[in-house]
Amino acid sequence: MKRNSKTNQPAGWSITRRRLASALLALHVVAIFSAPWSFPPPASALSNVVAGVFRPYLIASFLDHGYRFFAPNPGPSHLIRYEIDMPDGAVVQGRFPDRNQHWPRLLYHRHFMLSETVYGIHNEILDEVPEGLPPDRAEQFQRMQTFYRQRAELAQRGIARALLNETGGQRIRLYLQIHEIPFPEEVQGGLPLNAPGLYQDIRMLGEYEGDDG
Amino acid sequence: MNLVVGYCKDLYVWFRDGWDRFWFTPDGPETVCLLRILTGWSLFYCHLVWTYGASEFLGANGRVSVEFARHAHRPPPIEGVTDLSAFAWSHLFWLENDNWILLTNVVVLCVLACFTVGLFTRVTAVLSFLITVSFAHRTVGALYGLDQIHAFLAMYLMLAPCGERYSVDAWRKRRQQGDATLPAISTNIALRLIQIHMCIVYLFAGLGKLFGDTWWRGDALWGGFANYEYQTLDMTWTASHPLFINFLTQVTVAWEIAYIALIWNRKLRPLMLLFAVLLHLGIAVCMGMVTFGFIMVVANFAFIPSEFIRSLSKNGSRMPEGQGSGA
Repeated sequence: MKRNSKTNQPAGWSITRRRLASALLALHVVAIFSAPWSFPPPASALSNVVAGVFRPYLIASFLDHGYRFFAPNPGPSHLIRYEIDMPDGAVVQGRFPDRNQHWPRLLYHRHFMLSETVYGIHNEILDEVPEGLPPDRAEQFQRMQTFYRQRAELAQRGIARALLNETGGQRIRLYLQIHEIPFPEEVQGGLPLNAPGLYQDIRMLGEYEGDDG
Repeated sequence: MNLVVGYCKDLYVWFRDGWDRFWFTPDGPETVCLLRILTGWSLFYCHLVWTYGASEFLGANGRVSVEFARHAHRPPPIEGVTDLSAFAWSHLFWLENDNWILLTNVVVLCVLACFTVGLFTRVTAVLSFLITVSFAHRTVGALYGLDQIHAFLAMYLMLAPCGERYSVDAWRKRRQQGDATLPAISTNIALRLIQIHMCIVYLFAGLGKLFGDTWWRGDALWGGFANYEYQTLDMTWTASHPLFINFLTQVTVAWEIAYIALIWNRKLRPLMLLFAVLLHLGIAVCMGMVTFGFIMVVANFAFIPSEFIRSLSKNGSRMPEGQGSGA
């Protein structure tokens, strides 16, 4: 490191270097602010314009996040339940995340986030076209639905293939499940957090065979 | 008119001097070096787990297939929205063979271990950032806050001489040249960026909660305590203490939103940091997110002055007096 010859203190940056650094720092700070400002919706058109300028940089450096931890509300969990047909005719049932199976905790959490991601994709999929949409919007709606169905299918196929590969199963059926949070009064009344009644299948995701993957 | 011009000039000078002082005051290396050790450890552990679960998640038969990961980076087909998925790069998109993935992960772990202990720090810091981003892009769908905080900590530490203390590099340098470490502007810039990023994180985390009725009603934390998938410590006894849950819930939101303003106040900073530690320790212990809680506390350490850390270490006398007050 350079020192000032008179004071023996660290030499500062030249004005040119400081101005250049200032410009880069200002751009970076606007960029990292624009990411959560513009996502998730609702977001202003202005925030989208600003974030749009920086999007390639934000994506390339993995800074493109909304940081809405546990917002707007901490909700119920979404799990993936599966049934695997084994070659000997047995049916293996399971669910992930599974705190008894997935260890260490960080790996458990990865499974948890994956099941929540699948739920998030399906949340974008509507079974019917909303009534009253003008033709051009209806067409765009259909394109979006196809896009998210394709994404869901890719996610599910990967999960199905992995589970079949791990268990040696022949066929697998995947279900999306919700695990409701009990009310405080119910817990006070003795209801455990993992009571069977709190789990409910909300959608069958698909059936896959070993070769499908 | 002169009054207005004079005010504008004063404002400009005030802003320029404040800006320069904020960003370009040299700071000592202790804080960034401590952050390097803690962040490096967290990155190492995270990738150790990825290595352990590589075949489950990343391999040819992994749960997160390459096809899905690539698709997940594509935007929905909306007119005017550009596909920027090419920017979501990863070396792992090109690796599907389990053996190659394992071999690459071993190399990755060696790099992260070197970064943690401060060996070839300048190079391993850059590589650690690239590794973090690359894994994040490939494992999309299985990510959460931990990975987001990892990415920006690794990015900012890469800018600073974070191997100048508590490292193999520093030990080797001392043996060869004696201790010639001086406060550096780049150290201050790295810390300032972490501090600002943390303010942004908490601001939007807090503002996002204002959309939710449970945060207004005060029972949001019950949703965390009574969520079996998160639960690691039984907090269901709070069901009998609704006012306590209300208090914890609303203090959390208030603290998150106020963080961006109050953390800069020297008197209040210790209290804000204490609350951060308690909050994230609570998340770690009660909700099983030890890694996330840990890294959030680590990121908050960017507000600890380097002098304070120096005063705790045995080598405290090595820095020239009066230096290292930037943060």
